[in-house]
Amino acid sequence: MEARDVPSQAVARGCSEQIAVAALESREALARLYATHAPQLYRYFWIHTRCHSLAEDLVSETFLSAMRSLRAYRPERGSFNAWLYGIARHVLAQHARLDGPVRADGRVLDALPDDSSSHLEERIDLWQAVSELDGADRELLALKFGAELTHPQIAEITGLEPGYVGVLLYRALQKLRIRLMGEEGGHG
Amino acid sequence: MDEKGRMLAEALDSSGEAGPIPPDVKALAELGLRLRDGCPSADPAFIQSLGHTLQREWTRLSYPAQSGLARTRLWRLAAIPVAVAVLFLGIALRAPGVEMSVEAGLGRVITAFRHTRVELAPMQTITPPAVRSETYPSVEEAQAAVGFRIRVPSYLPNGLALDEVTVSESEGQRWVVLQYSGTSMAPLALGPVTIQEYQAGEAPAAQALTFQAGTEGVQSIQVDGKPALWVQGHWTRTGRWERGGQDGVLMVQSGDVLIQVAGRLSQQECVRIAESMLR
Repeated sequence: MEARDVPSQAVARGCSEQIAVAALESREALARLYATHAPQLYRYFWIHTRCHSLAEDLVSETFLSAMRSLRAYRPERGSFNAWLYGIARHVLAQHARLDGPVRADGRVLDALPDDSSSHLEERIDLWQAVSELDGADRELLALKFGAELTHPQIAEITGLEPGYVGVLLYRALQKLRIRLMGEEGGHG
Repeated sequence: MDEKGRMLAEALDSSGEAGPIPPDVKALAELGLRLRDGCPSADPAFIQSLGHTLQREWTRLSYPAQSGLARTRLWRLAAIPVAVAVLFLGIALRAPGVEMSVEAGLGRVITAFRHTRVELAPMQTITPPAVRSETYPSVEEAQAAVGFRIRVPSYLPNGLALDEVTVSESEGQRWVVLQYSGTSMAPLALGPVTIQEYQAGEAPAAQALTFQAGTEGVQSIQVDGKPALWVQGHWTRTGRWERGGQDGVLMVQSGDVLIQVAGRLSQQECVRIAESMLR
C-alpha cells in the first residue's frame, strides 16, 4: 500500500486511531481528527471552567500539544480518545496548578445557550451545583456529558473498571441532585 | 449500587432501548441529559480559527527540511497580537488616579519608542499590519538578519527549549521572536513562552492596541535595576487579551532594545527570565 493511500482510507473509515496516524501525512486527516474531537473537548473544558475564553485556551493548548507529539501516539497502546483526553487532563491539571482551581468568573450567563424552554435561574443553579462537586465527580460529568463519551471510553481514560464508571457516575449525579434539591428548597 | 450504575449506563448509552428503569435511576439519567443539553457549544469562529492555526503548525512540523535555513511563513496566530502589542502599545485605563501612575511607569519603560502612546480609551479591535517573517533554527543564524544583538536568556523554567527564532519586519521595523515550547515531558503544561526583542526608535505611528488591562492589571516594577512594566493577563489563541490570572507580559528596556517576555508564567518567572537576559 502506498503511503498516500493511507489517509483517505482511514478518513473514510472514520476511525480516530487510524486517522491520527494518517494525520502525520495528510492535512485532510488532521482536519477530520480536529473536527471530530474539538467540539467535545471544548464542552469538556467548559464544564470544568464555565469560562468561554479559558475553555478555548485549554482546547488550543491540548490540540497544539497533541499535534506536536502526534508521532508518539501508538494506536496499539490505546484509543486516540484516551490519548487526547490524557493530554487534556494534564493541561487542565497544570492550569489548576499554575492559576489555582478553575472556577466560574461571572461570565457563565453569557456562555449559556439560549434555551427558552428552561428558566435561567435553574440553569445557573445547575452549573453552580456542578462547580461545587469535588474534582473527581466533576471530571466524570465532564467526560460523560461534555465530551459525550461512553462508559467504556471513560473507563479507558480514567483507568477505572468499566462497571465502576457507572457506579461513580450514579453517585456523582446523586450528589448533584441532592445539591439541586437543597437549592430548590432554599429558593422555596 | 452496581446494578443501578449498570442501569444508568444503559439508560444513557442505549439510545432509549434500555429495559425498565427504576424512578431514581431515571431521574438521574434525566439530570445527566440536562447537563448534556445545557452545556454550551464552542464558538464556530474559534473552532475555525484554531483549525487554521493547527494546519499551519502541521505544515511547520511535517516539513521541517523543506524550507531550508530561512523560510518565510505566516506568524503563529498567538504571536501576532503580542508583537503588535509592543509595536503599537496602548493601555486602556479607567480610574484617573491610576492612569497617571501607570502612564508615568510606561513612559519610563518605553522611552526609546518615539511613536508609542498610551490609549486611555478602550479600543476593541486589532488590525495587525502586514508582517513578513523568516524563521531560523538557531539564534546564531538569525543574528545576521536582525541587525542588533539578540539577547538570549540564561535562565528558563525547566522543560522549556528553544523552538525557533523568527525575524520579522513590518513597515521598516525589525524584531526578533524567540519561541520556546515544552519538551515531551512536563513542558507543555507551561505552554509556549515568547520572548520578543525590538530595536528602539523605529516603530511606525498611527496604530494602537488596547490591552484592556484595567487599573489592576498594570504594575510598574524593576528588573535588574531597570524600570519595567508588568501587564497581568494573557493573549488567547483567538487574539483576545484576557485579564487576570497569574500570567502576564513583562516589558523592560535595555539600552535601545525593548524586551518582552510573555507566556503562561508568573511575574516572578518572567522577571527571572528577563534578568538573565540583561546580565
